[in-house]
Amino acid sequence: MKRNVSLLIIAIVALLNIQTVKSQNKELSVKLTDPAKAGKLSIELFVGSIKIVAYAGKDVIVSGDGPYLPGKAGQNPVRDSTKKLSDFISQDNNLVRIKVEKFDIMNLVIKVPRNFSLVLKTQAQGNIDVENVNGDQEISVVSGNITLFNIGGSVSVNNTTGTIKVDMNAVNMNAHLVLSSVMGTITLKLPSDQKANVKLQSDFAAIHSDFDIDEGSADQKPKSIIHRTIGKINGGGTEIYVKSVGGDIYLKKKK
Amino acid sequence: MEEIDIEIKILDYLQGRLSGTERKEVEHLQQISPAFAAKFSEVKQVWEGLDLREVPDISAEPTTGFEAMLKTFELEQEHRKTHTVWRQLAALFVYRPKYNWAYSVLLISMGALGAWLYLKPADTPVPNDPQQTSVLAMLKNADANGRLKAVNYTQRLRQVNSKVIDALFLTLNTDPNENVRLVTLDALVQLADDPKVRAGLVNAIIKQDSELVQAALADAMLQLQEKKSVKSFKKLLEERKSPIIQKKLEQTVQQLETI
Repeated sequence: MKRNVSLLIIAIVALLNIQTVKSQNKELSVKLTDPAKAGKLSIELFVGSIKIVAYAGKDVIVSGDGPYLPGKAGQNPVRDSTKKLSDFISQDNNLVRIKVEKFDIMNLVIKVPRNFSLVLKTQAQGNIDVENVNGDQEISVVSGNITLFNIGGSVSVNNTTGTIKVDMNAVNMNAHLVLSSVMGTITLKLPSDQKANVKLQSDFAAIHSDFDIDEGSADQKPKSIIHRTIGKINGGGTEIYVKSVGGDIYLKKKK
Repeated sequence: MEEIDIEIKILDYLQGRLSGTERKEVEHLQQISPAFAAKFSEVKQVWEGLDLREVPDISAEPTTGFEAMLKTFELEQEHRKTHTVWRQLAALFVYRPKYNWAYSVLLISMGALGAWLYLKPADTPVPNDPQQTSVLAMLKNADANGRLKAVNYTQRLRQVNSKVIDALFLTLNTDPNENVRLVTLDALVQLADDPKVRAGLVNAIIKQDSELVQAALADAMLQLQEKKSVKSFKKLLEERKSPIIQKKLEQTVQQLETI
């Protein structure tokens, strides 16, 4: 039995290695001008998904699926063989830029150093996922889910439809979080001892909070806006603004 | 010192606005206080991220682009204004018996000028106020997070002059990032005791192309109980909207009409 388990583990490891080698073939490594200084990644897409994961290296490693041209009515998108991934990437003074022309469809998976700033914009549709990145982040998509996990720094996130989930590490006093959506449900997870001034608003849905929010005395609140919660958690600190017109808002404690 | 004062002092240091003693004080604080050193590097990082390192003085001459054109235009205007008036005044002081009447004109002009100076609005921009200048520069930051920080700064300023208010309205109406617009709207609502800000907010409604900010403006108008905004919301409702924004604006109009 033990032998079988060992064999199975070896087989899995071997399989994973093969997959890594396979994907490495498609990866492009972008070197920063000065790896000792903080870098920034800026992506502009029209349609497509973006996944960013922090890793221990110094380069930005890009792998992409595409570009595809939109198929004719009822048909699948067609791979545009006239363009390759490297055509869209540039690096200047630690700013790595990926700009995909309108109507091209591209799915990107990118590894960045842990301390990195991100500016990610998808003009039409696609999900955006970011994991473990510590740096200022500006993320917007018209239609798509935005999921940020284990993040540090100032964060600005905005979409029209799709859920927004943001899981933050301790946020320092001078950072700020601004999350907004027209229709999406927004979930913000914070460390339980996070100090913050919060402003939460959902026009047509509900606000749920694990935190005790000190809203001050009743006469300080504007009476006309009933679906808004303004107050301090843990005595006040970082500025947090969360607004969804049609979606619920959840403010949760990280466990 | 309050936090904002410390930040302003560091910004002044970075822009070379401090005297020798003040510079030494900042450098000394950096060495003895880790908290100050951390603050210093944070402000420095924000400052270095700015598009515009410094708001140029009138004498500074930008070299290229739109800024240079604008500056040249402003300088020409300034030059034209001051020099023409000065020449005319100087000419009046030359003794010319034939034109004695000119002295009367001069006296009347001086009286008028005095009256204008006495009666002019109190909110004329204060030149070279370092806090406000720094905030104006920060509002031009290329990063949305930098601009959000600038808007938050304005809420901590003791006084906000008309230049900052104009910059906030420009941000509300044209910033490419919806979150920056939302936070700017909040900052302006805090200043709505000023009738100009109130009127500016009403004017901003029809200029607003973001549905999210239109919904936020609706709340702002309800909070300010501003009936004058009804016409603008009705105008917005003539365009096609997301159903939820349509509902929000219709509700707002209804509520405002019953006030």
